[in-house]
Amino acid sequence: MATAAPNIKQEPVDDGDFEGRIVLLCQEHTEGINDAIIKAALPLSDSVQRVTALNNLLKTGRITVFQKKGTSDQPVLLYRLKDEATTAGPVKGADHQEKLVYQIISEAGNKGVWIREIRMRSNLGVPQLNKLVKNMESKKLIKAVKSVAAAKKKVYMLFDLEPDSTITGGAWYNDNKFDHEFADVLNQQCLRYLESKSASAKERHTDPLAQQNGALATADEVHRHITELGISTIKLTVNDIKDVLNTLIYDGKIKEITRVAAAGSTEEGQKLYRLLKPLIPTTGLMRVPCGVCPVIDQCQDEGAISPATCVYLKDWLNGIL
Amino acid sequence: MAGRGRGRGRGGLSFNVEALHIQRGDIISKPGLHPPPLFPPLVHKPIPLQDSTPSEKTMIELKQEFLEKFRQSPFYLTMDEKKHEIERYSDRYQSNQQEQKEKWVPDWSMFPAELKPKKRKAQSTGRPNLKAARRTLGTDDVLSKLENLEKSTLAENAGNEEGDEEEEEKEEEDREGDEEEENDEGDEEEETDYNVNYFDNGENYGDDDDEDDEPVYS
Amino acid sequence: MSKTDLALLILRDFHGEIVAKIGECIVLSGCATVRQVALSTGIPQAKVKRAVLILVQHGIAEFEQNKHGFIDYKVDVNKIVYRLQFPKIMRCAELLYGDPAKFMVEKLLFEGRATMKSLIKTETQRLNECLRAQGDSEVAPSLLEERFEKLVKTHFLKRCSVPIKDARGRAVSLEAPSEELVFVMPPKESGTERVKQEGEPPSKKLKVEGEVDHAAAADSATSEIYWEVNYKRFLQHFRDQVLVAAVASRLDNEKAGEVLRTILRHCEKTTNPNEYVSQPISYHEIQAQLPRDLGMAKQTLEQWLKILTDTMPEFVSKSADSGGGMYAVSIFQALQTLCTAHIESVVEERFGSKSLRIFRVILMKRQVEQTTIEKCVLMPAKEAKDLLYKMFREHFVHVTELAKTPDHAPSRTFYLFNVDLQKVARVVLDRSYKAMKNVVIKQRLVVSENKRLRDKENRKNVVIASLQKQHSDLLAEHGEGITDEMKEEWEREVDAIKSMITHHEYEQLEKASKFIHHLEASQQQLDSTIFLLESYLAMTYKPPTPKPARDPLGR
Repeated sequence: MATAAPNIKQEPVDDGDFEGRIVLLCQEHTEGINDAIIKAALPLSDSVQRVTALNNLLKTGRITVFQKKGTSDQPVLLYRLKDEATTAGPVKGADHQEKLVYQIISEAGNKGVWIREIRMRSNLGVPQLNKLVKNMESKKLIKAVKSVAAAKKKVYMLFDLEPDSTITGGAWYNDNKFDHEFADVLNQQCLRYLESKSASAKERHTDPLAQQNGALATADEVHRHITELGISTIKLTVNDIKDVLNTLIYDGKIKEITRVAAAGSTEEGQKLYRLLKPLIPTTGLMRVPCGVCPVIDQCQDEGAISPATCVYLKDWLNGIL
Repeated sequence: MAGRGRGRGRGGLSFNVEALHIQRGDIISKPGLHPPPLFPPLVHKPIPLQDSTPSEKTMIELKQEFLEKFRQSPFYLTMDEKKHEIERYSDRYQSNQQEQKEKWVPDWSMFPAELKPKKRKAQSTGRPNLKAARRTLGTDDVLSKLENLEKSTLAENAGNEEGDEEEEEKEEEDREGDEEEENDEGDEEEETDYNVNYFDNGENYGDDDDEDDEPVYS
Repeated sequence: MSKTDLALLILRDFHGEIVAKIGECIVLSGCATVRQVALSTGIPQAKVKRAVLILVQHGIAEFEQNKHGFIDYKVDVNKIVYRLQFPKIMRCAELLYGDPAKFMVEKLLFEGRATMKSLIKTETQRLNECLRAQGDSEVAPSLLEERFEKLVKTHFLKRCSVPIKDARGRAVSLEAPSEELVFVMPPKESGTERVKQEGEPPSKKLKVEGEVDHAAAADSATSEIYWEVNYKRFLQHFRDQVLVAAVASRLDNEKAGEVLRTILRHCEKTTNPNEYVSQPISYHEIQAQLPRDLGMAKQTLEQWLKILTDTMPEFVSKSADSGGGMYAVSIFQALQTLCTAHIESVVEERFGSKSLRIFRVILMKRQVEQTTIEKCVLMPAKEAKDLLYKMFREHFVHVTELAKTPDHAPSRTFYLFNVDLQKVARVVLDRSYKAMKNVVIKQRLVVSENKRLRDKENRKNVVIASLQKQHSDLLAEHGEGITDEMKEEWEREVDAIKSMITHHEYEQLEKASKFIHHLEASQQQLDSTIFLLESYLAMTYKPPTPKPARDPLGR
């Protein structure tokens, strides 16, 4: 019995060292000790002392408690010693929590998890948690990624993971700020490409159908053209270009045509884009000041705001506007 | 006002009084008490007008000429006839507009009869005749004059020559004011079915009459 | 409503203050009798009657006997607003059928209505005066008769409503001429005043003769047929022009527009102008009716038709393959597309191009959530939200609320943005009328501010003209007898009169006339918005469908 030797050593020790003796007991029984074994090893201790000792050990995090099915099929409490390496001083207490936090963060995958959520799920205090997180960051276990949705919100994820596009905003976000100048530039360039394609098709062909078809372009073509232009520092995907082309459709400047694949062919239906000429020139209402007037609803025949007093009409007629 | 807070606190000001050299009793105006401008500066300006094509230019001229024609026409009504207070040199060279004003003669068959102005010849032209009749003393003359009067009024009533009618109507309008309106009312009633409907036989009692628009108390 | 305000302004411009006041009174009360108008406006009855006469003569007012036995007058605001189209109508008549037509149409617009005989008589005279002045040869009345007939056959002129008489032979209400008669020319009868009403199809002769008897029994004057300008026909013509221009603009080629014009010209004969979709026309028919001078080959025509149906299906659609292909114009769809284009133009210029993108996203997706918009639009979310709410505030976009929970809590409700085209069109139309009204008021102000100067200028011109005539007469008479001294003196006289107006005043006059031209041009261009929106909205009014008759057996 391996227990015999240590027992003999510890026998004449006083109360304060119950904890030490239990630790030693645990060290021997790596699978865990139960109350019965402790009782046997410390016949002089009563249950109160044993319990206090165990509680202290638990609090300082030197042992853990878990349940297991005992021989008599009754659940039994077992006490096991915690790994030495990670229980050095007060940091030992943090160990358990760190593991928990790490677990929460890794569960979040590449979407990351917000600091408040970590706090809720781990039940740790704010300063404690912050220290933990900082610690882990310095150890390069986790990293903080700023979300584009809310500028102040930071999400944490495992160090090696690529943040998801919903947080970073994908190609359009530069330093977590929406790069609308970039989006505008791309918008203009795509439009210009389609404009030139349409103009050259008109020149090259005389019959109208050929002119119309010559002006068509696929998303791939546009993508190729933009990449060749080299205006983008980051790599753009065809989907990114499709997003830009969609904004041009929403601008009413181009049109999308779906060419249905011929029956029996293996190709999918293609999406083609073509420049759209305007249906009408600017409408008449917007050529007079009343169209853009911010106070039009308050304008009456007579009064402070009326055609007679209107500053915009006056300036417009005088050619200033 | 400064320093007065809610309750009893003697709170400080939000700026450093000494640095600004504000004495006691100086008026500190609160910023932003002016009303916003009536015509705020425009963010978006209107697009310039398209250049007028020659066709559009002729249409503008057409429109202005047409409008001018209308203004000179009998279809343009004014309250009083325009009087030229000062005779202008140019009057010699401009045609008299007055003549054209009354030239339009409607085709009365296309309009409700009430719109036709009534002639007051029986009464108005009667007056000078009476005066003339009074001057002559002889009863024969009076009788014959009365006969003539009857004949002339009948003839005038029968002859609906529009040209004469317009001039006389104009004269009547000049001479008579309110009196004519009241007479008009009287005649109008005779012409319409009001008298018939006024003394109704109770059939329509209980119907919803929305508004009683012609109450005349004779 | 801005339309009513504008109409009253137009009345004032054309007919003066009194008619405008009376028109206002009738419009605001819906319908009124002469007595009511006189009472509420304080204008003497004689003037009221005269004004009402003018309104009825020009087709602006209609009359009807009400149940009390008095004559009610109603004013149609639309008829007043048509006056804005007068210059276009006259120009159109001139372009289609020449000067004789222009003169006749002008006279009809001026008088309101006229008989064919009087019209031809006065206009031949007037036309010949102009031709004489220009040094051209005169024309015969038969030319005008021929043009008149053309105008009637193509429905640009129509018969006026005929008064219905009561037992005492007085006119009490108006009846529109029947469908068969309204565009039918009277038969040519030389020398007689009386013109009989005769319908062309022999099967209808019996019925028509009955009417002739009725007419004969009535007062002799009403057997004269009065004609008036058929505004609706001219509006249809302008509408077709707009469609053609749109097609030519989008397909960037005039010829495409001409193809559409050919189809529309065919529709004029076959289709009721209020129909949503025109009657189909076959490919061969189109080919036959295409103008020769276009020089379009058969193949090119085929291609254009294919392009039209592919890229602009709202305008032209192919309904069948018989006859080489049956093509029809979807007039309502086309107008709707154009209406959308005008509204988009308004959004772009009033709120900016970014807002236009947002607006079109909502248009294309029908019902969208705010987050979807922000995703599609590639704009900072904050900016997108700002612009969206600005458009919402001005009623360009509307919101439908879909509550997830019965308590409609905002955090648990979907807010879907959508564009209701008709509502927005009405808002924009009202604003356009308001803008037009403001421009007209401003123009009147400019004219009245400079009236004194302009009168002065006019008088000066008149005096100079007469002086110069005097001088030329004297010259013609005495010839050599006129010395140079005298000529110098004449010059000095003319100069003296010219100096009546200072240089500064000249500048002011120049500026004023530039302003007036600017305002007139803007009225014309504003009309493009108003015209299209009105045409579209007019087609959306559906008359209430009559309830199906109840089967007494309850089946």
